[in-house]
Amino acid sequence: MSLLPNFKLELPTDLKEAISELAGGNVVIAAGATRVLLMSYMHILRPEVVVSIRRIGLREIKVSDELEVEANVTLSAVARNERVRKEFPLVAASASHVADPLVRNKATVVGNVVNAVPYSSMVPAFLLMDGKAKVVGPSGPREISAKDFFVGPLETAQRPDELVTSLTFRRVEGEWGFTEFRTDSQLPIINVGVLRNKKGKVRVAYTGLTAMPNLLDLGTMPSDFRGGYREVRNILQDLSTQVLDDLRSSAEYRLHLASVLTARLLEGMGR
Amino acid sequence: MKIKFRLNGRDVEADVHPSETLLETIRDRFEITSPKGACTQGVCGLCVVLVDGEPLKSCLVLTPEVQDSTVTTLEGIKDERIETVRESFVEKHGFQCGFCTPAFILRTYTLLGRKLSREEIREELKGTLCRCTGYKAIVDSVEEALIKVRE
Repeated sequence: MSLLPNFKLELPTDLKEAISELAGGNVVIAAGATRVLLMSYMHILRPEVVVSIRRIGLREIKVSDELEVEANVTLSAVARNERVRKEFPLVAASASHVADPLVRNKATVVGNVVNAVPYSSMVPAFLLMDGKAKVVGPSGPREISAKDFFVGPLETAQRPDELVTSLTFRRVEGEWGFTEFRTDSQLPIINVGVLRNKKGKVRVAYTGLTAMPNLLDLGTMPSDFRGGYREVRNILQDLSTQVLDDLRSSAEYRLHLASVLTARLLEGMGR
Repeated sequence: MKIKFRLNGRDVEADVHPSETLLETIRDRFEITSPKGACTQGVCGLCVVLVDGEPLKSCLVLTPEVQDSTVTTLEGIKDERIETVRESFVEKHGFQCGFCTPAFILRTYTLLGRKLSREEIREELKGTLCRCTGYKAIVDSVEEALIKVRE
């Protein structure tokens, strides 16, 4: 007996071939393939055709004014990369929080973003660092900015016949923080990324708070925990009707978590 | 699909179904049994193997993905330091039923040469589950193995 439901597997060897495999749009794209396999095991996904892009290259991490991570780069590769750790620490920290080391050795940074799951660890950094998705489709390449990328729950601006070939993260000056909250060993309930620029202005990004990721400008924030908590909780009140309320966590608890974790990060950065 | 790869030091070939996992190929076609299928859904980490030196969950690898790669299970490790790891698990009682032991020993092997705190060892071992010992004895064993190998 086989573990997975049967599907057809295409393994194109270059980008052009990969794009032509996507024509028609009725295929599932896999790089690290961890989502495709996990979802198939859980019977949430029943792919007929899986297009694996593992053999088309796209394995580079490019550091310049910005960081560019290509589609087949694993989370481990980014988390371990010395230049990324030094120059883009928020990206490295976010990557090192996903799942566990074995999964990170196969799952990709790009996958963690383009799947647009509400528990993504990489999406806060992608939003905070004015990320861009480089996309190639039948009519050629285009770029989508992080803030335009997420269009609905589990839904992105990537069209079914397009491939995201890399993501970019802008270099930012200032202080940063990242944390997550898990009650089980696999998926975080919430992820929080924070940046404070040199002028003291704070931006925060969440996944897991609402069905779509959130990016908020908080302005100048107090760095003591109580003050920070109160301000964040007030600001988040505007979102309260959209906050996820499910088996894993009530909406009230999620709002509390988001406020506590943000205030803790702000307090930690102040030291 | 006809797939060629290197398994425990020899070149092998298999005609596999596109959705066949590496775990199934290794156990069912090559009858190598150290990778265990326990949860078979990417959680327990008992099916760990090395693909080009990197530890991966073999239930999250499709066999066609390892074309031209080198796959190593615990059986294929010829490095004598693996004996030191085994001894450390015996000395520190790092197992009870033994079902997760091959996975933990293989994962410990990938950490040899590094200097890690207990906290870092715990972090590195995430993704492989033991349902008997409660991990303290496992972390003790890994700590012991790392120290012995460094000496």
